[in-house]
Amino acid sequence: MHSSNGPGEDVKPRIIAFLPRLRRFCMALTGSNDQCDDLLQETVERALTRIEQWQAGTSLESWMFRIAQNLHIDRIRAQGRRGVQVDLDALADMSGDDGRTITEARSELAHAQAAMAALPDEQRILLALVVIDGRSYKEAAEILELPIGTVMSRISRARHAIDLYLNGKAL
Amino acid sequence: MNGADEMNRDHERVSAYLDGTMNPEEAAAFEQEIEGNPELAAIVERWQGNDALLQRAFDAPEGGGISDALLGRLGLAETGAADNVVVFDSFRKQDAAQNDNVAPPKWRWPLVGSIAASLVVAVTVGSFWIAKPSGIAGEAAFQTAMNGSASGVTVALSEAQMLTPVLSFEAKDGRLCREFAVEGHEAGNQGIACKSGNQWTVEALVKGGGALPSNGEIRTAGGKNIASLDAVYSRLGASDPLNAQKENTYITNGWKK
Repeated sequence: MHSSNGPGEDVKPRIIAFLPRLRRFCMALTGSNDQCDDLLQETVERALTRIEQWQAGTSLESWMFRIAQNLHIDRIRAQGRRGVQVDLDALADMSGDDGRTITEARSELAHAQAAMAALPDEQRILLALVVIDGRSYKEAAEILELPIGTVMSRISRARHAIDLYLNGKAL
Repeated sequence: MNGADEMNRDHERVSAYLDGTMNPEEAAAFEQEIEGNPELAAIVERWQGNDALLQRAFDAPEGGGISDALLGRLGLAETGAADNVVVFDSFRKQDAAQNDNVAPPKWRWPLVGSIAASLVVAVTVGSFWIAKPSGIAGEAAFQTAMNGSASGVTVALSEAQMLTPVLSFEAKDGRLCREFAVEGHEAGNQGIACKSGNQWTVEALVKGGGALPSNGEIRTAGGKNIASLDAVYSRLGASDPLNAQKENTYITNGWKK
């Protein structure tokens, strides 16, 4: 039951408490502060204006993660681009001895952010949820409305691609 | 099964292992397999390191990167903070327990032991909050006490404040960390600090709540504030507590690994 302040007012404190995690998720998806804050703003606005669509008793946070990822995908489609597709062999070529040079030239953390940015969107979103935010496969599957098997295979492919980017290693 | 299929299967198993989705029997069998398979062990180690690096790369800055300006832009600036909220910097951070899907502790299987068992029974009770680390880390007495005091041994920071390290552990990013309790003029604080370079940096400080552990007592899940530190332990990827011998070694060598 919502108070007389309106349903949006009821959830605002909870949204505020959730903002750092949501912003980190947006940052992992977009890779830039400006785009991240735009996505964050759009997500919060969408959540507040459509709060009636959130089912009390279900996770508000998962619902907002879903809004953010849907908005992100919509933006990518609107911009007419897909996530940066990087060939695995090309990733391996970028690392190794040369990779060490790259790592020395940039900071290690910037290199990790670049690796994340090089992933296809579908893999980046999952890594953001599972590895960075710590969601379980089940939660990630529910948020993204994917079969859990797809979550498992995408996560492992994403980790493999990240490993190739960062270390140039493969089995 | 061809080579590519086998590789994909191994990768999915490594991911499942790292993400804690294997049951204990599966994890134990996988660990046994790792011991006899250096290539697989190397992948587990590298991927674990990559995960830690990604988490650091996207770790939120203090205050979560939420400025007053951003709160205003989001239409959330006028929302009042609840009574149990401490304003830190411009961002009003509330009790993590209000997020209904705060990440559960996700440690490596070999590390899931007594601390995990104690945390899962923790419940959110009382009024507490996670505050921005106060200036305590900047005090020389705090640094000295954290460097030199064994867990359970209380030392005086000043005439009014006593500090007791509660336990020590290793974070997933490799830092050595300690939970501590400070008893003083207020109800008492408990927090977690990690050693970065030569400094102990306070990761979280919890105010209020139950009694502090007495000398020689290693606190268990019965402590009221353990629930509020749960999210911090999870974020740090805490190992099991170090035993007294290991802790003493670190105290002796200045917490260098």
